[in-house]
Amino acid sequence: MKHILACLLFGISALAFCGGTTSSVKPAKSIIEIWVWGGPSQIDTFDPKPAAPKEYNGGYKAISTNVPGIEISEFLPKLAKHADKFSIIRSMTHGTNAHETATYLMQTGRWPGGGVTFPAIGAVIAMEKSKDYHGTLPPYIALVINKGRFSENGFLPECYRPLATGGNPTAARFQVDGFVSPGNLSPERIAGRRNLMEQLDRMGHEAPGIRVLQEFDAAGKDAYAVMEGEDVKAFDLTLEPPEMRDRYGRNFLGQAMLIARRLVQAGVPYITINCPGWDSHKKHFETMKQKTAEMDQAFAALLEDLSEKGLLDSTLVWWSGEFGRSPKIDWQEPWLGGRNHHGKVFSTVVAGAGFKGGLVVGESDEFASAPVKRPVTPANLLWSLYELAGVDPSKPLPNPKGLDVPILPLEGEQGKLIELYRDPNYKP
Amino acid sequence: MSFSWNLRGLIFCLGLLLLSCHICAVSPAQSALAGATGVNTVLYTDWQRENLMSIPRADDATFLRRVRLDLTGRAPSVEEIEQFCGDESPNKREALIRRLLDSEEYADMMAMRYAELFRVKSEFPINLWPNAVQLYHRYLREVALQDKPLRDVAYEMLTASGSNFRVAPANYFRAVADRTPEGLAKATLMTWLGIRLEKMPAGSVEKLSPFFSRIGKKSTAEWKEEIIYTEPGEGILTATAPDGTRYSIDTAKEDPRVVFANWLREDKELQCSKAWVNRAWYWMLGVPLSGDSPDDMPIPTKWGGPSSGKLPELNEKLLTTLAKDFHATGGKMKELLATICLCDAYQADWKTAPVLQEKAEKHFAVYPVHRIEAEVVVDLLADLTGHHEQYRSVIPEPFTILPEGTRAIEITDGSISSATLDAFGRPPRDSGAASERNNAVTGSQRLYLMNSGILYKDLEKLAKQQLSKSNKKVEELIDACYLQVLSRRATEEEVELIKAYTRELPKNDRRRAVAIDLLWSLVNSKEFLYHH
Repeated sequence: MKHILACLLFGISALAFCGGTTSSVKPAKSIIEIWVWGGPSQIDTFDPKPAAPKEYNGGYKAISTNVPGIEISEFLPKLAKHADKFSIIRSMTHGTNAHETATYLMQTGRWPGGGVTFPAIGAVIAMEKSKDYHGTLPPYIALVINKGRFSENGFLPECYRPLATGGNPTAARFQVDGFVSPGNLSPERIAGRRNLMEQLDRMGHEAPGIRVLQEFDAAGKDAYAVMEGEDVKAFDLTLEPPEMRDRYGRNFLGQAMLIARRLVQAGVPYITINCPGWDSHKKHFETMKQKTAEMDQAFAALLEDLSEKGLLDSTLVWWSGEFGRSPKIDWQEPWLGGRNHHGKVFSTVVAGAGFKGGLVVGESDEFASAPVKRPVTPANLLWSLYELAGVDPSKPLPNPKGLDVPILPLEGEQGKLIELYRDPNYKP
Repeated sequence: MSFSWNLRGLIFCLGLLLLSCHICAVSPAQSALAGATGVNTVLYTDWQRENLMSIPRADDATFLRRVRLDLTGRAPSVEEIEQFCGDESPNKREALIRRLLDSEEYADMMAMRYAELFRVKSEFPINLWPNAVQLYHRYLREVALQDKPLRDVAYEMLTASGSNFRVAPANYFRAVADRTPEGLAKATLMTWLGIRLEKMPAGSVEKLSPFFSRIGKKSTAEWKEEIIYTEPGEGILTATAPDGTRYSIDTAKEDPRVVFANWLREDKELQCSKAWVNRAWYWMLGVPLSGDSPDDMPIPTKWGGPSSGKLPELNEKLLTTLAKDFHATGGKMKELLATICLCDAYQADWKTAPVLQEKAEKHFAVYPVHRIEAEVVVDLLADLTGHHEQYRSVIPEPFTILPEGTRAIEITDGSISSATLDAFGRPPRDSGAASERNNAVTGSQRLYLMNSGILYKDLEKLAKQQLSKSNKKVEELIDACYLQVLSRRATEEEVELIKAYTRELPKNDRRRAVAIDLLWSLVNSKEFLYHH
């Protein structure tokens, strides 16, 4: 979508600070965020503890991967075949167990407070990439719902708010409400009706001198650019071969992941897949069996597919929840085998673009309850994501309140994931 | 005997007469009318000088829709339009304004405006929690409904002590993201004086925050309940009001909050009254008198405000004239709104000759066109189609689910929203700043109005209803659609255009097609989306 003038100017002023680079590593063109909403268990995904007692690991084992020395949970057999494509951070930590605060931290790198809401990484990337992005779709797209206002555009202009597509990716025909003309009308009728609407525009005809009304017409142009453009076809999964749809899994997550790949091909700078249902307080393992099976298939298919299409070098993928889950399983009523929130240590996965695959950063203790080696904060993680997307996180974040703030708190740099950089000297 | 009875009767009648005269003399409509006359004098002096006297008043239908939306967030019903436009009494506009101000619907609309200013929200970055949200919102709605003088409201809030779940105004000090004395000083300056503390002279924070330095907070066994109280102190505390008045407060005997509340009550420079006048003007006309943003009232020079950056003379005069009356009533919002709605800046038509338009807008000689608030747009659509979205919270648990049919303007909690409300720029109620509301028109809003599948289905249903009601001529259908969507009749030219369009449609489906296409076109018109 073309942005309104104000947003454009805002973006240009934001871009004035961009520098160049001569590294062999190119900044990521697109970022896919797989948001494991509610907090996935670190033990039951990427930080298994097979040696721990059953009250911690539930009796579930670890399996080896295609990278010697790296083991992940037996819940993720398909991903185990692609461990060379991703790296695991097992020492993510922020210490808070509240969903909203933890989400805000993971999305902005900052603790809440001070009366301002900072923009989430997706909104900042959308703004920073606006110079190079000429697609008609919004620059930040959420499949299919948003996480909530505190992890959206914050104080940045509206045009950087994530567009929540709505809809059901498993439907026979996935559609973004509003992007296509409703009612199955003929193109002639649609054109005729538009003409009628314009003819009946009494305010526009009677008072062409009213400036605020020009905004309405400009917004209309933006809207028609989306409807009539080619990019909107990115959402049309019927254009994918059925085998490809099967490969990702014929479920919400699998199909959403496939749409994300199509959006990458359309050049959309930031796509987030908000995967609900990981807040497994009750009957944790029953939930996990279903959730991890879908995640395993979809995430593995995405990495394989991006790699086959030569897109993994220009696409950065990160997988995380707002926190992990408590190591000790609660078998009491009413939890019946539940795990609670755990912000002290959890696992995050990164892949693609300037990141090396097949590595593990940090380490948690024998129960996966606390980091014992190389703690990584949300700001450290985000620092690396920004850098490898070609954005300097220390540059000022333009804001209407005239605050003098960088994109991330500067202490985030100390502890960035340098060991995962394909080019350790890489700077945006 | 009979004589004395007659005499008594006569005296009684005289008394009644006097009493009723007395009631008349102070009755709200009368004083609002007098206020409007005062405002008009200011306006006419300016308009005469600027040659803007010739712009007519808005016609009845336009005025009805305008004032209905501004005061109650609803469009007039078809019966109401017919009744009002056919009414020939000379003071019908005044009577309408009075009737609307006394309605429950007005209380809903004003409660939304107050809830925005007072940051009524259960979670992030304001943490009132649902219990307190309900209590605080109900209190604010009562303030609106009963027209409680805002001077008293200020005093109640600033001096409130007790549980935030039981004493509604005690939430004033809880509903602030930064709850340090500095943060509370900042919020108070913004809420009650319309000034950003950052814009005050250096050192103002340190001078003002001691007033709020003795506020104690303690939690109880009830989850998220908090008791607000004044910590008893020893010794003398020095605090300085924004106008420079220094207070030495004996903290063993006096509550610094009370000292500040009393200072504010006096409102010597009328700054508090002006801040409310500015907001009321902004609510009714969509532009503040204070310039670009309703959050930035000019700081009086006596308070150390810059001598430059003064307001245009007209704006300053309007602020002062209205603020004097407002102060005299003790801060009665209904009075103020009635005065504004009765004055000619509000009654004026929204358009004039293109060459004059910009100048006329600057001088309030035309009603400024501006986009309708997110909640009101969504409610208008819901009223039109009879389909209200059901609102529920996403945070915090346990979730709040509002009853079916709840209007968007009635949503108590800033933490409850919807994708559509967000797209239309509903404010998050984080800071109390009016600038949080985003009234820009965006591509996604237009996509929603043109293409939303849900909305379109609702419109198709509405088209069917219209067809079953007016099964005769196409003119009747056109009229019905215009009245329902835009609160007016179609012009002859419009009728001709639509008839011509109808002739182009396939014969077998013509009536159904024109009904839906017309409704769709009107919902997607500027006239629908803008206050005018």
